Amino acid sequence: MKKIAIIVIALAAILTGCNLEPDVAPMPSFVGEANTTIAELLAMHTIGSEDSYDSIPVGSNIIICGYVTTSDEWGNNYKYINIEDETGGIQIKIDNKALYHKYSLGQKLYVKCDGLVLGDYRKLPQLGLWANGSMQAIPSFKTYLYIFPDGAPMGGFNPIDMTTIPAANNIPETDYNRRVRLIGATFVEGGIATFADPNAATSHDIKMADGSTITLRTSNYATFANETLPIGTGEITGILTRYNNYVQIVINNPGDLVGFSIPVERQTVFSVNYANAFNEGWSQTGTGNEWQTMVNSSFSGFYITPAANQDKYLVSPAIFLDNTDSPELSFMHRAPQGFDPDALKCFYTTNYTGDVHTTQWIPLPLTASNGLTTSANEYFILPESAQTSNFRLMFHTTSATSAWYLSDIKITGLVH
Amino acid sequence: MRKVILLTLLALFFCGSVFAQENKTEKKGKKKQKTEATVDGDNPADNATIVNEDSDDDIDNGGGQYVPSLLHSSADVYTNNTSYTFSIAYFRMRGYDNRYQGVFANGYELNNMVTGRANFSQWGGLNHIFRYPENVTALNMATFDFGDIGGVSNYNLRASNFRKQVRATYSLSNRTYTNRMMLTGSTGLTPRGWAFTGSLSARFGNELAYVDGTSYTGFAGFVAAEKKINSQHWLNLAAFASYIQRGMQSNSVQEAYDLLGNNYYNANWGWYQGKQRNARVRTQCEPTFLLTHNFNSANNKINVQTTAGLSFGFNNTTSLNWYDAQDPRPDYYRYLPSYQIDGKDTAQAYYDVLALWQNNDQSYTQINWDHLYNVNQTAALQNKRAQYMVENRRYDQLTGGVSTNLNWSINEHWKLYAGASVSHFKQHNYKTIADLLGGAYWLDVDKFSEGDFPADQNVQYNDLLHIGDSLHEGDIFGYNYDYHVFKQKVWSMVKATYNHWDFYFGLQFGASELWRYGHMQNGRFPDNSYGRSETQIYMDNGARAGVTYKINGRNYIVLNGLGETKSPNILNSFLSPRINNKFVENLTYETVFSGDLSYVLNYPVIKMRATVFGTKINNSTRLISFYNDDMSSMVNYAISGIDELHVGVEAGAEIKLGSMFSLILAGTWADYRYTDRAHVTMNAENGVDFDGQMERTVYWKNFHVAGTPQVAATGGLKFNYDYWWVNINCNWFDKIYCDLNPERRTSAARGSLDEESELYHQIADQTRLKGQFTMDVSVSKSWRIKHKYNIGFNASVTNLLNNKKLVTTAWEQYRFDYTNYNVNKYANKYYYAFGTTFYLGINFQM
Repeated sequence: MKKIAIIVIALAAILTGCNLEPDVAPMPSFVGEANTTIAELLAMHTIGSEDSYDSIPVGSNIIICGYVTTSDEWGNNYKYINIEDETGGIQIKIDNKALYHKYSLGQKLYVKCDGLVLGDYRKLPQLGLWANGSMQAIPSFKTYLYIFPDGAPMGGFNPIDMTTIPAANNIPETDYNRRVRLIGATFVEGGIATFADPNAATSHDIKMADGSTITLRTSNYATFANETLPIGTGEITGILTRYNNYVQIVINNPGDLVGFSIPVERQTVFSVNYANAFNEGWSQTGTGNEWQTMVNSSFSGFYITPAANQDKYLVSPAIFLDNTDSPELSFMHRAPQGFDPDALKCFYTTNYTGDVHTTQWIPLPLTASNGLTTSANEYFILPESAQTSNFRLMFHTTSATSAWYLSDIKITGLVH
Repeated sequence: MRKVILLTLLALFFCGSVFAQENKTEKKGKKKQKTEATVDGDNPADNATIVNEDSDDDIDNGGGQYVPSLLHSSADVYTNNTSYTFSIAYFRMRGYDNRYQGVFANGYELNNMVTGRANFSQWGGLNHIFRYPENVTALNMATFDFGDIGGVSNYNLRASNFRKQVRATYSLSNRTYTNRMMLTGSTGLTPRGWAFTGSLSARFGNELAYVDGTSYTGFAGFVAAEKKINSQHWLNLAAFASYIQRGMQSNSVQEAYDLLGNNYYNANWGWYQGKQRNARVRTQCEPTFLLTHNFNSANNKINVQTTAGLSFGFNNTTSLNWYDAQDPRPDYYRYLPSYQIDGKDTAQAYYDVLALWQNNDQSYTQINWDHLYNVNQTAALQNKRAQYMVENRRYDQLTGGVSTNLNWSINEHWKLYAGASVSHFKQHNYKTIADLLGGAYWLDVDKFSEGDFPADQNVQYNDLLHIGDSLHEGDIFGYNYDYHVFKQKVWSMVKATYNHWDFYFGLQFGASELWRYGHMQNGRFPDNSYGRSETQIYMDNGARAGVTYKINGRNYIVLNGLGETKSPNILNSFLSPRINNKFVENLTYETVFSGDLSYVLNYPVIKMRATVFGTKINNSTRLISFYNDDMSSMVNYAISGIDELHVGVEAGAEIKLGSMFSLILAGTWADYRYTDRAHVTMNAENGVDFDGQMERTVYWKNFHVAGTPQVAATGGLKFNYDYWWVNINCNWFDKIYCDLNPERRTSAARGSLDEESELYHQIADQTRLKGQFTMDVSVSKSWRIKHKYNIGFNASVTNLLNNKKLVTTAWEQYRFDYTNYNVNKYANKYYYAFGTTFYLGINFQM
């Protein structure tokens, strides 16, 4: 009768247009409890002078529990996750990408450690699996045997605050692989360098208020690798790691940096319209041949041919750099009959008097050497003193033997 | 009543004792049902009447007088007007799998005991013979079997059943075949008491209208001889076989269809030596022999039919196989433009691949056989194993059994029907090498196991009894095992007929024994893959009852109910049948409860049936195998505890509009859903032991059961004048759902995704396809010449409006992208109904 009643009720529901909501799978859960803290687990392995490993025997029934603190969503962590509990942190190597779907930030995980290997790579503790004579990442299909997500990813612990960076060996082993917050940190190359070079993982020094340093380690595959390091002083939250005796921090994404001035993107603040340069503020003075401009498919720029009495100055208009941080000057040049560093020179000034002879010029030493038959690139990081509203460039030639070609003159910087 | 119960029990357990009775009364000519079924895409215009032919006239509506009963053993007004019309959309009555429909011949069950389904190809092409089954729809009572929720059919294959005639048919079509020829001759019952019937058939077709690379060749034959031993005993021997070879169509992803602008793109073929070569060719032939004894008592009150059957044969499908090489299937996801978008700096690769598809470069969009040969020949020169081959996937079956059925008219009110059967089914499943494609030899190792167990080299071998053998064409490899099903049942039903009430009730007791026999010792499971598995026994018990209230001869109310247990399908009973003997844990029988309530009108100007139905199916099991990305292995996904509820309304009406026209209205509005969560046990064929951890719950409660439109309706007009018949139908199909990948409804697939997130919905929501409209028309005409010859023709056009958007099969791929959770990486696969197709038939009879 019960079955018939169910059928009749269901039929009535259908016929009356009742909309049955589809089932929703709950988030994964783990049945069991942790019986070992991460600190206790770490104590089972002694970090030696070289990479070493300890197997966790099957049957030892070790279960740890922690919250995920890393995410590979932004590409800065590759084939591993970190978890931590209130006692310590550990890195777990997993042979798969995009782990953040399964093990997202704040996800509570239980790890059945039996059969895994606890070891260290360059003194950084890791969990993995023994295969082919060494510790390997756990194959993706075997993670079901060891790693068990539990509930919604909403957990975690406050990071450990650090205002100074002790020597690597003076940091407790349990603090590595944990989330830390560096307070009063400054990027030495803030506003200048990017997080990572295009072709390799990159280290950048971070200076703490007391002068101690730590390295920010960033993968070139990180989605933010091309972004410029922020300037000023702020807080950096990331995973504390070590590479032998180097202490490092790894962030998930730039959102882990707080309180810094985020530099605007570098942009070109000055360039030359060669076709009309002498109507747009460029001027020349002195004896010998004239500076001229050329604009065609093979060359666009200034050029001057040699003369016996050559002593010619080419002066730029005033360039406004007052609102530009980290200005950089670059140009290309070529001297077909050979480069003479005494005859071809470049200067700048911030207090042009209107007379090249009374102005105090600051030399920009050219790197080109003899035999400059093809274009060479010159690149200068201009000092902070150049950031005025009256910045001018000057090119001076006294060569009686060589022409000089200048092109691609431009100044880039961070406009604020 | 007590007498009836006693008789029932008596019949259940001692029905064999009545066989020996003798009676010399002549058998009365059995009235042939006018119902026709369409088999194998046959002509729709042949359908005929539904209810009792006698009931249209001379009906006494007076109270207290006898009111004629409904005849259920024929197609009714709903079935008659929908069975062919809805077939274009793969409509399944009440949403049932075909294994809930029993198909019999001379009372002997023909359903394949591994799939549970009748294999209509077993007699494909023999339409002259397999033309007039006794059809019992849905829950209505049958006289030759206990029945099932999907109804039962019984073909009468007695030679004397076919009147003396010669019949020839030629058909032209662009559906499954192009040409069909059938020739049948029957002697009728000769004065010496013999009857003979024979039938031959041939079907051919290459490069059918819609699907490139397909082909069809079929030959079939039937012979039957019957001897009337005396007035009470008849002996009939029938034998039939149908050989069919088909180049098959693939299903593919919408991306491939859209790129080629062709919803019938077939990835199964490629050019080879100037010809289209199909990698998937199915060949089957399963000859069947039936020896039938009929007994009729002298007073014709007791009829007993006993049939011993023997069936054997093969079912082979070829398929590409490859080892340590690129997937040769052209629509593999990595070969589609969408895959190129994922990578870095692949803009050019994307456009390159896009151009290959848009230009339909068939060296890319079809199987590149030359490449496969080149790879193999290069390897052979270095005496290395072949990397590609074509394999045979064979299923050889052997069935033997006996069944007997009793019909006993106890008195004018009571009838008893009873039966018993016992049968043994063996299916040998194995693979052989069909073609090494220029390669030197093959090694039988599991490509997904290599490297996972470096310490145990044996793990990779599929057969430890033949380690390292160099295999060649014809050699068995991969897997090799038998399924065995030993099935017995007894059943009985009692039917009573009174003036205004008919009712019946019945019981069935049955059991199925299941076991597996492994012919290989698999390296992953050396201890439980070879030899015989344990035997598990499941009950097939049932009870049913029904009542008809005959208001008068025009109005009827019918109520049916059935409850039964069904043994699990052996196909779904083993965790990894290809490699070991383990049964699915906690395997149990399925329970089925079903009821329907109908109102039937039977007036000369209007015939109508309206039915509400509800069916609860609990504890079904299903085994699916697929490549699991996350495990880097083939896995077997054993789903148990599948609960479904099928409810709905079906109605059909035929209204006469004058003497020549009839209006047809018929349709189903239904809802088929999973009603509870299911349980999954996953086993990896690469041998990784998950220590019981790979158990999952499938959260699919209230998701729709797919496989059929849940709404289907047709409206049509019939014209009939001077042996001209014209039918025009307009059809609508809706609530078509994509079959679910259970994995996408598990906690593992959800991970920590928010229930409201778009990605979660992309993963978990069920795709519903758009409803579609089709139109059919058919014309037929017959002439009687010199009162001796009949000549007829019939022509039909299906899907007249050439709608190519009707999805007949949709399923989510079982692979799931656990790396990026990109549901489009392994997109849904679809089959589309053909556009306009035609059938033309000419029939001669004398």
